[in-house]
Amino acid sequence: MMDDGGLGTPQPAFEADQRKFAAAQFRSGNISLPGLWTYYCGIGGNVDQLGVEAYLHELVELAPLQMDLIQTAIKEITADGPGSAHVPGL
Amino acid sequence: MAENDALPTAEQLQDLLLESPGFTEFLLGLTAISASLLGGDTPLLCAITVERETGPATVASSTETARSLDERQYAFDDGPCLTALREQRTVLIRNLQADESWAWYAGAVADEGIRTILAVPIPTDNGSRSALNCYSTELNTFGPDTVTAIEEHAASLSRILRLAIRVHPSDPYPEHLRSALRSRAVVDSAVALIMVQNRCSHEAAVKLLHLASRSSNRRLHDIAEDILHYASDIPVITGGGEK
Repeated sequence: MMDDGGLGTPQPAFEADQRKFAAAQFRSGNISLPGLWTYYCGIGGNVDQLGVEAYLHELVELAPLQMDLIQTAIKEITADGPGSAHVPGL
Repeated sequence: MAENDALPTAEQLQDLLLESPGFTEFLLGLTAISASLLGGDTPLLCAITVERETGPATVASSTETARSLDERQYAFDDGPCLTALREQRTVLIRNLQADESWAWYAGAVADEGIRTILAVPIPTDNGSRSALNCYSTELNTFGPDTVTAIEEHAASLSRILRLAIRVHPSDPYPEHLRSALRSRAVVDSAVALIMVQNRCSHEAAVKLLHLASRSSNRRLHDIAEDILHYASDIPVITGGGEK
């Protein structure tokens, strides 16, 4: 949805791919759903936890911005190391 | 390790409870006491997990490593500490790498260099469960005497832990939630600032923030903080409408 100036994280081209990508990253990243949702909410996400869970199970589509924020949340949490779910600003 | 040395005094524990502002801090102090009393020649990593009927479990650890070892069990919803907690029995893994029944856990924590684990339940009231977990990088840390000493140590924590659970009811807003709210406040303020400055919609402002974070490869929260920090550099818009 937006151009990605050739940066570190590979960005999938389509929204369905982005969802699959996020779901796979979530599973492999060893992240808890409440941890992810809290973090996502902390950086401005607006979808509730059930919605995020449904998205990660590839059941629903979300607005492009929310999908981006979920992906950013996953990326920032995994950068902290597995199992960690603390929120920035601490 | 002499057995008596491993038991904290009641005064020591009461002082800890009186001085701790919250349950998490109390638990953290308790793990520090355990680690210092139980650690012999090789330092012992200690963690205490408390599960309550209501609210999430609290994990306090003497070190970051112990914390991550405990949290990984929650990710798998299984592990020596959770077994000790849920079945209220002592779990001793003498040699983690050679123990077949815990092979999956050994694989999960392979990067920490832990060789042996002892998890002992701490008796608490109905409705909550607790366990003390000790991790060591040295085989043969947990001989029969040490296991007995640690079990006695865990039992000695029971009374003060039950008191602490009563004194500090489970926190409806745990720290990570509060820090998420703090983070959200910063992000929202930055978004509002972008909206005013760029005369754009809320969604466009969040997009812009997100784009800035992605293209600079920095955390969204840090970018938002920067924006607020440099807000005073933005030229003042003087409006005649006020007053």
